[in-house]
Amino acid sequence: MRIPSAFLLVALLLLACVGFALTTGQYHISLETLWKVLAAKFAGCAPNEDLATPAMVLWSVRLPRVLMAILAGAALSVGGVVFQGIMKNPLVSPSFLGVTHGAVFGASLAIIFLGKSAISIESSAFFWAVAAVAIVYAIGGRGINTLTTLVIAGVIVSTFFMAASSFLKYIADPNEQLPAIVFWTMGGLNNVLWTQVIRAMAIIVIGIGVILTFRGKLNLLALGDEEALSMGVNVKVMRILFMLFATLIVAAGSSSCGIIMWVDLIVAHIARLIVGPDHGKLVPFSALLGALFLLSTDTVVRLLPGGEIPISIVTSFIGAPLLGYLLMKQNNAWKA
Amino acid sequence: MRPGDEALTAEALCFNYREREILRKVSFQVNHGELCGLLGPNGSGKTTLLKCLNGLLSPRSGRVTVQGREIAKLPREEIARRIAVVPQELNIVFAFSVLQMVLMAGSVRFGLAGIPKMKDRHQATEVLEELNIQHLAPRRYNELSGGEKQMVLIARALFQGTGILLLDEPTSHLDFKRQHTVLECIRRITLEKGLTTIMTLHDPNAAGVYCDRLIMLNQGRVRYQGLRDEVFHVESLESTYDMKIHMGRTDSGASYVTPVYEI
Amino acid sequence: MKCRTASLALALALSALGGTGSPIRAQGTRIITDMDSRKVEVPVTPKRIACMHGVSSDRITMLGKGDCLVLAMKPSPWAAKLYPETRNLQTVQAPFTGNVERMLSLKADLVLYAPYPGEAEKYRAAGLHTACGFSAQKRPRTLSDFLADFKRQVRFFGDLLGPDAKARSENYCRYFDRKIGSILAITSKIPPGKRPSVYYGGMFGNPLATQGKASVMHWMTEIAGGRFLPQAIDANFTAANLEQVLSWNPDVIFLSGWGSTPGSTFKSPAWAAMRATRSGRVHVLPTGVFAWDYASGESVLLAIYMAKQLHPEQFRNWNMVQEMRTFYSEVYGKTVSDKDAERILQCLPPL
Repeated sequence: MRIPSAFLLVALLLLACVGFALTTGQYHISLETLWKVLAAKFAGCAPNEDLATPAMVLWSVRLPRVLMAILAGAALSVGGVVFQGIMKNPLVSPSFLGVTHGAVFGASLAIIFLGKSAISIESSAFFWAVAAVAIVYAIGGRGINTLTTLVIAGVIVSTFFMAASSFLKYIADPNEQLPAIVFWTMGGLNNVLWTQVIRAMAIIVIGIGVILTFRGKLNLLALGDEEALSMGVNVKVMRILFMLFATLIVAAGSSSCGIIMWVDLIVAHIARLIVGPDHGKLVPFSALLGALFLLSTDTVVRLLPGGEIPISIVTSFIGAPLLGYLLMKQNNAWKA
Repeated sequence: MRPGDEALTAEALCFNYREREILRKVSFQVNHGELCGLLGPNGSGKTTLLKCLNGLLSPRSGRVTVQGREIAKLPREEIARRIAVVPQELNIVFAFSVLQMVLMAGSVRFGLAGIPKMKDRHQATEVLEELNIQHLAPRRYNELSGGEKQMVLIARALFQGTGILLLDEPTSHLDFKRQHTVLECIRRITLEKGLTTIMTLHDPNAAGVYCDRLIMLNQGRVRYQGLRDEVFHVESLESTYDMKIHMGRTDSGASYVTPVYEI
Repeated sequence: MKCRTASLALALALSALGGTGSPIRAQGTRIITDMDSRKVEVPVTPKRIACMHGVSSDRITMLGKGDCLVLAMKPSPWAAKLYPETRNLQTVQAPFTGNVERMLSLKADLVLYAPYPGEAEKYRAAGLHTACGFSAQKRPRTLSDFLADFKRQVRFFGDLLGPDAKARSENYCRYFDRKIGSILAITSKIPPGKRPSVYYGGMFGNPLATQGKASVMHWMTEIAGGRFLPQAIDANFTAANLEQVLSWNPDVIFLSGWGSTPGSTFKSPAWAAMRATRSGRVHVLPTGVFAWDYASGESVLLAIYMAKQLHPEQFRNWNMVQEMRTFYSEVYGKTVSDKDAERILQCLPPL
C-alpha cells in the first residue's frame, strides 16, 4: 500500500467510525431525532423537551466517550512508538515498562495519603509512572542484550508495583479508600466525563504536539546513541524529552480510562508494518491508527448486549494472539 | 579553508578506561585535504582515539581542536556540521531503507523536526549516484551485504555534508576485492570533495597505498607519524606491530610489507 | 503453590504431634449439610470461626455469636459499636481467600468460605473443619425461592452455632416473615403499571456497578413493589452501560451505601438528566451493622426503606426510625436511639 493512501484510508475509517459511534448505542436515537438534534445545535437554539434527552446522550455521553477513546488510543500508540524508538526495541511499550502499574500505585498512594482529589490522584499517578519507567531503564537499559533485559526489568518493576498496590489496597480503609482504588483501577471509558476529557486532551494534545515537533530525531535515536550523537542529536536531552512526554501522554490516557493493555505495543507494531519505520510518518500514522483501534474496540464493547465488558479484555484478546503470531513468524515482522 | 591548513589537531590526549591507560599523550595534526591512516595493533587505542576526535569520549587531559575550535566546547550539532563518522559496523533494529538511512544524516540541517524536504531527497539520491549505489535506495539496510552496507554508511557520511570524515576500519568485513573498491572510493571522494579523512586500518599495505599521512599507535602512544613516504618503513611498522616485517617492492616500484614467515 | 505446600507440611507436622493440644479435635463433631449442599463435619458448637465470606460474619454477629469470630471482614463502625466483641477480631479483605497457617495459629475450629475453586480443599487438607455459607451459583430464581432461601440461610447459621443461636434464628425468621408478609400484602396488589422502575448501582463508588437478574437487589425491589431494571442482565454482580441506564430512564435510583455518595456520583449531566435525579428520587442505601444492600440481616429494614421510597403513600404509616428501633431491639437485642437510627439512615458512623 502506498503510504499517502494508507493515511487517507485510516483517516476515512476513523471518520466513519466516529460517525457510527455517535449514531449508535444502547440508547436508541432514530436518524430523524439525530437530525433534529443536530439542526437545533447548529441553529444555536436549545433543544425542546422531547429532544433534551437524546441531545444529552449525544453531547454528554457519547461525544466525550468517543473523544476519550480517540485521545487515549492516539496517546497510547504514540507512546508505544516513542518508547520502541528510543529503546531501539520493538517489543517494549510503556505498559510493559511499568507505566501502567506505576500509575496504579501512584493513584492508590494518593487515594490513601493525599485525599481523593482528582488533581492529587492524577499527579501522583503520573509521578510514579515516570518513576517506574526510570527504574526499568536503570535496571534494564544497560548491557548488550537490551531486548531481553529491558523486558525482564519491565516485568520486575511491574510486579513490584503490583505488589505494592496490593499492599496499599490491603491497608486501605475498606469503606472509603478501597472502593476508590478499585474504581480508579477498573476505570474504562464507561464513566467518562467532559472534565476528564478536557484535562486529558490538554496533556495529550501538548504531548503529541511536542513529540511530533521533534519526531525526526527519533530516527537517529533508534539507530543508537553514538550514531545519534555523531549526527548532532543531544541524546541525553532528547531522550529525556521523549520519555517524559511519552510517559505523560500514556499516564494521561491511563488515568482517565484505567488500564488498557496492549494498545501501545500492538498499534505501534501494525503501524510500522504499514508505513515503515520512518518516524516522520510513523508517529502521525500511529496516532490515527491508535485512535481508530481504540474507538472501534470501545464501540464494540459499548454495543454488546448485556453488561459492559471491560475494554482491556477485548484489547488483550486481540493483542496477545497478534503479538504471538508476529513472534512466531520469526522473520522479524516488525522490521517491515 | 585551503589545502595545508590545519583541519584536526590532537594535543597531548590522555584517556583512561577505569585504571587502564588507553591513550597516552597522543598529539598530531591532520591538514585540510589529507587522507590520514591510523595504524596499530588491536587494543592500541585506534577506536578510542577516533571517538575522542569526534567528542564522543572526553579525554582525561589534552584537547582536540577542529578547524581551530576546541571540540569539548562545541555543542553536538556544531560537531555534526564539521565531522561525520562511518562506524565499523552498524546493525539496526528497525527496517529503514537505504534512502531513509542517508536522509537521516542530514537531520542537523532539517530544523527542529528533522524532516527532509523534496530537495533533500534529490540531494540524497545524488550522493548515492556519486557512489554508484543508487540502485540500493529503496532496499532495506538490514538486507544488504557487508560491502553494500559500508558504501551506504559512506554515502550517509557524505550527505551529512561535513569537511571531515572519520572512518573506523571501513574494510574490516569486506572481501579482498571490495576492500579495494571501498578504499578507492574513499580516496576519490576525499580528493574530489576536498575532504579531510581519517580512517583506522588493519592492513598496512592499504595504508601505504591510499593514505597521504600515517599515524602509528602502539599501547596508546604515537610511535610514528608523518607523511606516508617518511614513515612507511620496516622499522616503524616493526615497532608498531611488535613483529618481524619484510618489505618488498612491486613491479611498479611501490613498497609493500609482509610478515617474515617462519614456516 | 509454595504457600500451600508449606501449609500442607505444617498440617502434617501438627497432625503428627498427635493433636492432644489441638482445639480442632478437642470437642465432638457432627455432620451437617452446608449451603453448597455438601455434607460437612463441623464442631458441635464452633467457638473459633474464621469467616472468609463477607455477609456470613453478619449472620454470626446477628445471632449473638460475634465472640466466636476470630477472623472476618472488618466490622462496620455500627457493628463495632453494637457488638463490641467484634472489635478485636483479625480482619481479612477481598478476595477473601484465607491463609491456612494464619487460621491454624488462630486455632480456628471452623472455616466459613465462599465457594471459590480449591478453597474448601485447601482448608480440609490442613485438617480444618469447613462449611460453605453462601453460594452465588445457586441464586434463587423466583421470589418465593428467594424468601425461602434467605430464611434457610439464617437457620443454617442457627443450626451451626448452637441452641441460643438457633432460638435467635427462629425469632429472626418469624420477624422476617411477619414484616415481609405485611409489605407484600400491600405491594403485591400494586399493578405493574404503578410499579416505579428502579435502578441500583454504586458498588465501589461506581454508579454503573450493579446487580443483575435474580440478585438480592432484584428480589428486594420486587418485595418493595418496584420494577428492577438491571434484571435485563443475567448476572449477580455486573456492570451496566451508561446509555442502557439512560434508555431505561429509571423512576428511582438506589445507590449502594458502600462507596457511594449521591453528590460525587451525579456530577455528570447524563445522570442529572435521568427522571429519578430530576425528581429527586435518588437514595443512598443505609449502612448499619452491615451494608443493607449486601443481603445483610437488616434486609428486613431495607425492604421497608425501599417500599417507603417507592410507595410513600401506601407506606405513610410506617415510621422508619420506629421500625429500626423495634427491629434492632426485638431481633438483634440491641438498643438504638432515634438519633442513632437517623445516622444509620444517612450512612453516618456512630458519634
